[in-house]
Amino acid sequence: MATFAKNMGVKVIRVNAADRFLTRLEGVADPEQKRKIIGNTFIEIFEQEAAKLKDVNWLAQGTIYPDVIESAGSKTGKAHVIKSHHNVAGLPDDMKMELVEPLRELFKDEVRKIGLELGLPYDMVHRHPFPGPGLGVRVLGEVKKEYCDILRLADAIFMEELHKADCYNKVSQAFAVFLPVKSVGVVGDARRYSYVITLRAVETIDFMTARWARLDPDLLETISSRIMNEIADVSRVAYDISSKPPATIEWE
Amino acid sequence: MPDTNIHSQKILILDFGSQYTQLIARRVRESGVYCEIWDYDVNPQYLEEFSPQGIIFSGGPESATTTESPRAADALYDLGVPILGICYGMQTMAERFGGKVEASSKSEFGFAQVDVSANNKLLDGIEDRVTEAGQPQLDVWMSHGDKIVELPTGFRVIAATESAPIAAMCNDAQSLYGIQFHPEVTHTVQGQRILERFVRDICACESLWTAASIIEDAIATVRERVGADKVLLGLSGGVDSSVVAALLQRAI
Repeated sequence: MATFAKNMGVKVIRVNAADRFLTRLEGVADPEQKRKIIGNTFIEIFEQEAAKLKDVNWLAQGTIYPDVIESAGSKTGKAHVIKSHHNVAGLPDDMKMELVEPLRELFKDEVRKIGLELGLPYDMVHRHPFPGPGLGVRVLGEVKKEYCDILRLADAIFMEELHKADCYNKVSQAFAVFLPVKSVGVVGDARRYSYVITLRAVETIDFMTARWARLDPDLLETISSRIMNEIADVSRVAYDISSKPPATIEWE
Repeated sequence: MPDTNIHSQKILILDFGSQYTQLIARRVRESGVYCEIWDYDVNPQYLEEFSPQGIIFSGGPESATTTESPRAADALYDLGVPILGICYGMQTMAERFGGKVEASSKSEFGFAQVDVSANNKLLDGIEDRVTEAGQPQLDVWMSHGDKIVELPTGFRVIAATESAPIAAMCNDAQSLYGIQFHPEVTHTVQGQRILERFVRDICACESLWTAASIIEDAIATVRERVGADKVLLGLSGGVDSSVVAALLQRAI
């Protein structure tokens, strides 16, 4: 964000709406419902912010071609709704701003190519994909602030170690998932009973099929011991060895 | 608008539900040609407006041996542009012209060696090796249970494997081509060249779809739509929204 504000002359407004999202997500465990709530809340906040600004009639979105195909497919009833996309589905019909979506004809690799061509930094263009609904779908079940905080810490350690080991760009996507179940651990002489973090890393060319990444066991050990040592609320770290299909890349 | 319309050269990909359909589209784009993916039962009235220079039928999970399975509308064949049928797409093409498809006792999944058995516009000069006997061969990826057992009227066999004697066929007069293997997956080593041959040579599409021209086109389109208005964008820091920000910044 700072990069854009500083280097590109884009005016950036930051709104902290964490509480609003969390309040609406209270008690909601169903993944599809979570996605819808997050999408709707997001749009609502956007409209409110836009109302504060003068003469903003357009909302730009980074919708890409696969999102368009997927939502078109679900409209004809031909394709099963695998996941409703934040970018397309969930938009209320009475939205007051008109949409501008300059990427809606492009595949992800094309978006990356033009990003580089436009002069964006390599690391930004090659960032792993992040789901539209954010951590909301990486905290399984009900989303709570406490869970998000734990997950953020764990994910940061995971990313830091991947970069250090020069592995970040070798895997297509890597992230941590928060499991709201408790597991027993031992810390010194004390018993610990706290949450489980799962690490997910995949290799894929197209994100339609993916293989779980064969990360070096020593690297995995470094990551898991750092997470359990540095985050008191995590007593166990698991590594996801499911490929897509049949599993999806994200857990929800 | 830019001098050249980068959408003027285009291919239609008809989707029969293959898991690889988007890969076909990406390979066509990599050849520098715009393409769109449409559902197989799209209303033919849209065809004339879109006016593709060629059509590719994707594979699909259904069996062409049953009459209820999805078929391309006759209107597509009536356009008179070259058509390439892949796997299930080839089998439906065979059925359309009086050929016969049967469930095979031996399914083929995985790598296969294809003998290119006759000169043809699609595969000539594209091979992984030539045997001592002068037989050009391709290493390809197969994924099918059914196979064509009787050639349709007006077609000739151009490639064969041990278990699929009609692994590729063509009708020169109408520029119809069918291949049983999947050129869109990277396991088919010469796949990109084969698709490029179809798109660039057989359909005579010019290569206008490049990163630089996509940017130019996107900027012109945004300017035309938005004019001097203000645009609001949700900047997540991910690749897509960052590229949108960079594009908008250039456009307005």
